[in-house]
Amino acid sequence: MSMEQFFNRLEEGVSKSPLKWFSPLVEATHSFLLTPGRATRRGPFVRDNIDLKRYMFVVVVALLPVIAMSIYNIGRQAGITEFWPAIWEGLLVMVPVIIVSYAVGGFWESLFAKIRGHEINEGLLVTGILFPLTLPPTIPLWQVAIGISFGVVIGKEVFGGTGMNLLNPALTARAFLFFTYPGDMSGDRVWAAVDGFSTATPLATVAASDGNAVEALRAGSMDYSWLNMFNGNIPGSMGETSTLAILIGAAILLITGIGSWRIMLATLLGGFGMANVIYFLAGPSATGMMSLPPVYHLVMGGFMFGTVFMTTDPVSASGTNTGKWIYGILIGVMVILIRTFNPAYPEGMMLAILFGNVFSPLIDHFVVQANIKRRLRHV
Amino acid sequence: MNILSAKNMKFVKDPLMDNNPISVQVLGICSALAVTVQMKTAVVMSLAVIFVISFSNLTISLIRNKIPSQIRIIVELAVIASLVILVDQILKAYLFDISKQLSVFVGLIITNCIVLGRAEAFALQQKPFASWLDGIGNGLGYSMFLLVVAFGRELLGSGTLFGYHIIPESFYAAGYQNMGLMVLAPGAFILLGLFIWLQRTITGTVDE
Amino acid sequence: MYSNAYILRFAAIVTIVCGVLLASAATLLKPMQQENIQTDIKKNILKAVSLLESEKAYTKTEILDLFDERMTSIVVNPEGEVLEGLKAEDVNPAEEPDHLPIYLLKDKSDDVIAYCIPIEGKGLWSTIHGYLALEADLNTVRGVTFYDHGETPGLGGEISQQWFQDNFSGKKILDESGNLVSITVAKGQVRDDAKGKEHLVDGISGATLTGNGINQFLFSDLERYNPYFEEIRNQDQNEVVS
Repeated sequence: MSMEQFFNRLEEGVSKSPLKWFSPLVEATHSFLLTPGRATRRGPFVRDNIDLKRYMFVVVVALLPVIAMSIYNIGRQAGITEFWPAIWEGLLVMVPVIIVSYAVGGFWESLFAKIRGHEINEGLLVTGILFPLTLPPTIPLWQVAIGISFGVVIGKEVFGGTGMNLLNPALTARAFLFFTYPGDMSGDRVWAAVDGFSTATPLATVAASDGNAVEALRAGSMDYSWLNMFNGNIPGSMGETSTLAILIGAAILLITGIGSWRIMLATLLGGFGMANVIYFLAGPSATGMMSLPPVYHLVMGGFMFGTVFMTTDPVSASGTNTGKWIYGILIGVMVILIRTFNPAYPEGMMLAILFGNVFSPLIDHFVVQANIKRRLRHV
Repeated sequence: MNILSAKNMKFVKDPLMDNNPISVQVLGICSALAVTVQMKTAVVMSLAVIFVISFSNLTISLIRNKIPSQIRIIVELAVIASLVILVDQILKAYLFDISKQLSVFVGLIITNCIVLGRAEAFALQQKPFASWLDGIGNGLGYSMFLLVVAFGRELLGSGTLFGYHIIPESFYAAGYQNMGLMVLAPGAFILLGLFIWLQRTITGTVDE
Repeated sequence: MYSNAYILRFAAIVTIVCGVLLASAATLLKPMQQENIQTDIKKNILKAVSLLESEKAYTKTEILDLFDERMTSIVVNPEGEVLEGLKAEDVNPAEEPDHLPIYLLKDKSDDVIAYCIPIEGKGLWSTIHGYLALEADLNTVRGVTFYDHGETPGLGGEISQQWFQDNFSGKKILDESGNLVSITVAKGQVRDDAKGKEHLVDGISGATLTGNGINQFLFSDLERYNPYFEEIRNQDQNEVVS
């Protein structure tokens, strides 16, 4: 009996038995393991056999380098220098967080699937792993559970489920925790290593310094050199630390065509451009965030992680090509503005992306309107 | 035993569920967000609003045949504003601590759409007693949501109710924390939204 | 339709009735409201000089009696001179920025055992109001209250919490050579081996900027009062010598 037959029979059996409550779950497992062979047969249709499940699966694959780096880095930042023990320490921290995120998120997802009578969406596959990666490793598990509940229910289900949501559910979940438990999430002091000693993240170090930013970065107990921050040998939220690993993920997304290169490039340009404007307008005598060289902005905090994995979420981003450029640039500019000028939050990526999410339908609307106007002239 | 006739009872009961000013008409949201951080302020605010709506309805209904229609809105506002200032003055004199926390929001009852709305839509056409009951009913409907939201916000946000610690110390020792978001305005939005969702699921109200 | 005369008459009557009602209510209630405002100020001063237990609820009369019994006040100017005949209640800070009120806590033999000054300044989002009380040596902090602010709940808002205010008690505002250094809210916990530990209080995690605000206005407020404090300190020393 092949897998296909097995699942067909299981589905049939479950849908008739008292276990029919679980049928969406069975269906989801089935189609996740064996991507449906059914392709659209009648036109018009997109010449592609990609579907939501495979789409989401590629994102998870692209996240693997980030996850691997992050597991190693958790151990390393906890003060373990040897390779395997560091990995073990990282697994001990990260695996429970991911399990809680998937389990609790899955619970809500199936509950709504059951009530609304639709199948379980694959959106959770990505949300459930993106969300833990935005959290500091010290996050208590019960906060993970509350966060993902909020993200799935308020961020997605109230709008009608996957595909209807206005905001990125993983970021909605993070934003909720950020404002609800600011002490654990403020991005100011996120890392308490084994001995309970916490250090400020690079961004917080710069935000709090009243001297030259680069000097402040080197002056602390941690060595925040550009290369260290690029490689990810720094404390921070689990997934955001290693720019290197994120770039590998970005390559996977771009090669497979899953992530929009327009959005990534636009966000990068927007952020880098704005950082340059501020850096050069502020001049050499500037202090604090103003004196941070633009290339540092790119490797610090969640900028890269957000650019590659969060802004490109096809549901909450703009859909039109022109819209994608505007959307990306808007986010990039906002990040740097929040980082530099908002006194309360050293990091601005989460807020900037949510801001962009809110505006994306509007951007699309105007792009479409402009297009209609332009073409009407030729009629 | 019924003190009120069926018709009069309807004036009080209707705004509680089927025609609730907050959840169905979505009026008076601004103050609902501002004063629901604590039960204490929510209760005082509720009483103030019930007082203002019922007596503005009563007063306006009493003089409804005398009010020239050209200046009726101004007259209604004058009545409402007088009542609100009266309440504000009394609170400042007798419940100073609470009035300090309520700050401008007592004064802002004047701009609460429910009050003027009921005066325009009901009191101008109906007899005084019915108007008074309608005011009480709408005030209660408003209060109901205020109190439910305040209950959630104070319990989750500060771990207290009416200032008394409800969540035991052992919870905090075990790592429990108050939800900071609940103290901020978005917390009220989210709770309010969830309650409206719940209520509409129960009553089956759907906006066209 | 109503005639214009009727409308005017009606408007006039409504105005008069409402006006009389409100004016009389305001006049009747005014004394009580004034008393409430005073009680509130006095309560915070008493809290700063640690005459009140934080957990206990006090009635209005208790507070007023306690205040009248124990506290007196003087007004000084930034040059350190006492302005005779003025009481703290007479000062209107908006119009007379150079009149600096000081509340004094005296013991039975009429010796001052604590000085209490109002402090205020910008935090992160809002103006923070409070009182700072110093021991008779005008160096050790006796207590502090922050009572009115609009900082982020859970972060900067923690300044109105007892644990934060308790931190200040016992800290010193002067260094060894007697120069004013004020109190500094540290970033995070103050470590036991920290330099100048007697001038540092534990900060609030995630509220560095509220802390910075407090540092700034504490210093500038203390600086304004310092000429007067300096004089008192010198007098005390002379007394000890003689």
